[in-house]
Parts: sequence; C-alpha cells; structure tokens
Amino acid sequence: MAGANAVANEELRLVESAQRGDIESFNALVRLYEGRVYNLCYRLLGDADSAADAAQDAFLSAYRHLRAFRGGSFRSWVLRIATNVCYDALRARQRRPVVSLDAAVETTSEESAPLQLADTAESPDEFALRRELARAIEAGLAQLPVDQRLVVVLCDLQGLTYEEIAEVTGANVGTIKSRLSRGRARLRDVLRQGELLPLRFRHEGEE
Amino acid sequence: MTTQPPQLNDRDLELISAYIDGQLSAEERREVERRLDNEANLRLAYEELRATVQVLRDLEPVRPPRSFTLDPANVALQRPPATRLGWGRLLQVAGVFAAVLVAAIGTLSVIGSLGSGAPASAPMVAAPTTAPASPLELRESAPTPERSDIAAAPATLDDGSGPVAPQARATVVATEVAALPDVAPQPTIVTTPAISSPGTVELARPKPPADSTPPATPPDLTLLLTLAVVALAAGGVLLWRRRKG
Repeated sequence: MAGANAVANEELRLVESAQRGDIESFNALVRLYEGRVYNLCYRLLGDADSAADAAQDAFLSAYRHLRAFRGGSFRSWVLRIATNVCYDALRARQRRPVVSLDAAVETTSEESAPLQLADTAESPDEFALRRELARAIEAGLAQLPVDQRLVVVLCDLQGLTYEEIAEVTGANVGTIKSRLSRGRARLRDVLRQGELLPLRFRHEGEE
Repeated sequence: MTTQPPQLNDRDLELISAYIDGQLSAEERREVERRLDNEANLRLAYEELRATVQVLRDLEPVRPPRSFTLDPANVALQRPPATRLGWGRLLQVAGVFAAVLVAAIGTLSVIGSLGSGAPASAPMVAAPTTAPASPLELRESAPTPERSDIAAAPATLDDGSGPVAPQARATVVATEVAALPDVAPQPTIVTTPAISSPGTVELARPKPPADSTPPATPPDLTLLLTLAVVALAAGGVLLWRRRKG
C-alpha cells in the first residue's frame, strides 16, 4: 500500500512538473506508460506501424493537453487519449480503406509480434500451441466490434478494473459488463472453432 | 468429438463473466455458485469462458518498436499551439469587439443625428480613443507571453509572407473606405460627419490608417473598421498557420 502510494505521489509530482513545462518529467511519464499505450493501440488497430503512429500521436496529444488533466488517474487519462486516437484512425481507415484489419493481422502478426520460447522448460509443442492461440486471439479480436474489442483488451490484456475501464471508455459499468461478456463469448467461439479451448488440455479447477 | 456448446442467455453470460472477474455482489455470487453446482450447462459455459479469459490473460504483451518520448527540440515548436490558438482567438475576439463597437457607435450616431445632434459627439470622441488602442496594443504586446520561442512565432509571422497579406489588405480597404465619402457615401460613414464637429470632418478625409497619432481628434469609423479587419485577418492567418503547421 505504501509502495502504491509512493508511486502515485511520484506520478503526481511528474505530472505537475510536466504541466509547468518540464519535458523530462513528461518523458518519464511516457516511459512509464508507453508499453501499455502501444499495446492498447496494437490490439485495437491490429498492426505495428499504425500502433506506433497512434501511440506517438497519443503522447503528443497528451502533452499538448496536459493542462486539461485535472487529477485522478493519469494512466486512465492517457489510455483514454490513446483510445480516441485509435478510434480516429479506425474511422479514417473506414473512409479510405488501405488495408483491412484482418489482412493487417495476417501480414504483421508474425513479424511484428514475434513469439519467443518463453523459457527453456517450454516444449516445441507447447510453443506451437501458444503461437497458434496468439494468432487465433488476434484474428478473433480483429473480428470483434471495436467497442467490445476495447473492453476485452483493457480488462483481460491490460488488467484494468471495471471502474478504470469506465474512466477510459466513458461507458458505465453495466455497459462494460455487457460488452465484455459478449466479446469474451465471441472469442470463446473462435477458440472453440479452432479447437483451441484449453479446457480440453486442463483439469477442472486448475488455474 | 466436440461437445454441444452450451447456449446461455445474455443475462447468464454477463453473470458468469462478472463472476470470473469477482465483480458480483455477495448475494449474486452465492446464487451463481449454487447454480454452478446444479446446472451442467452453466458449469460448462463457465469453464469455457474462464479458459478463454485465461488465454487472453496469458497473451504476451508486444514490445514497442521504439520509445515514444518527446524530443524537447520538437516539442518547443509543438508546445505553443495552445498559446498560438489563444492568439488567434484573442485577435478574433478583438476584431469582433471592434466590429460590435463600430456597429454600436453607428447606431448611436444615427440615434444622435435623429435627435439633437450635438450630444452624440461625446461617445464619438470616447470610442475612438479606446477602441483603436485595444487591438493595436494586442498586436504589439502579443509576443510577450511566457516563452521566447513563442514570442518569436508571432514576430516572424508578421515578417513572413503570410502576415503581409492582412496588412496590405487592410490598407487597401482603408484607402477604399476613406475615398468612399466623396463618391458613394455609406450610411455609417455619412452619419459620422453629420454628428461630429466640422473640424473632424476635415480631418477624417485625408486620413491614412496608420496615422492615427497626429491630433487628439477622433480618428472616426474608418480607422475602427480598418482595425477590425486587420484583427480579423490576423486572427484568421494565425489560425490557418496553426492548422497547417
């Protein structure tokens, strides 16, 4: 608890310093959250190049609008900005479709998000399965309506609470529960179709 | 090979989804657990959904291809937008203010000319001394704000190709307007000499827009109009430059 408070205080100090124009303080915040922001963009947009552009735009926008930040969770605030940037990019893509999300996933999933053997204990079979699962999930996410995709990514990939997701998306908790359950159900169907549900590889009650 | 997938209604789907996240009230949780013990379908659906969530949670994060920290050199140029926008806004507001002032004075003049005539000259003297001051001061005090690099932006702007336009345009407008009373006087301008003293009529005619300094006599509507146009044009140019940059 004390550690969490110390982190929050440090974050607040950085935000205030950045608001006074200290770019290094802002960059310290960028380093804290760039992994999260990039991953959110990557999962929403489906390809590495668009995600990098969106993440950069999000941090630039955050810096420009830093004075509008009125306390609360900086993480939620910056993720919200990134979400808006991604929605804009998706809308622009719809108006002028250069490459479809499915195609983007197909072409980039292997080279942009290379999977490595997690540890030496992982067998080639396990590695192959993990890789197949990752590919199926990416394809499944790409098929979800963006509102559901966003909630699934924030909850299950980023580990945010429902309240934090509400801050990021502006939706109420009831809506979030609904989108989350439907998004998860669709992904379950994708895994089921690919006979990838780990249920069959696990015993009941195993984590 | 594959078992028949359980079909849940939306309500039950939401329940078990929130149950997985530990987001149910104590009462709801007990109810779900009781049903899980008794309903095989719900139990299977729960296991599948839980397994799906586990796959998602196990998905490894992707590594960003680069850092997204901002370059201080670039940001120094990026930062001003708020200020530059404020500038455009300020000038626009000043322009609108001046335009409203002109309209108000025009109206007052008309009313004045319809009435006694003499008392109306009072606002005419007061208005020009204050009105031209505000947009002019704005233009000059503009570059002062907080940072030197911000200050440099409007300054260079005035030297560059863009800002020349409003100035030139303003001058053209001013001379045109000044020439008007001889040829085809506009209503607002006609009213000016009508209510001001004979001296001001003489002074108003040969007035170039920049020469507002000489005598303390009011510079009249032409100057106000010029200032309004200059302020609006400058505001527009600033906004345009911001959008472009």
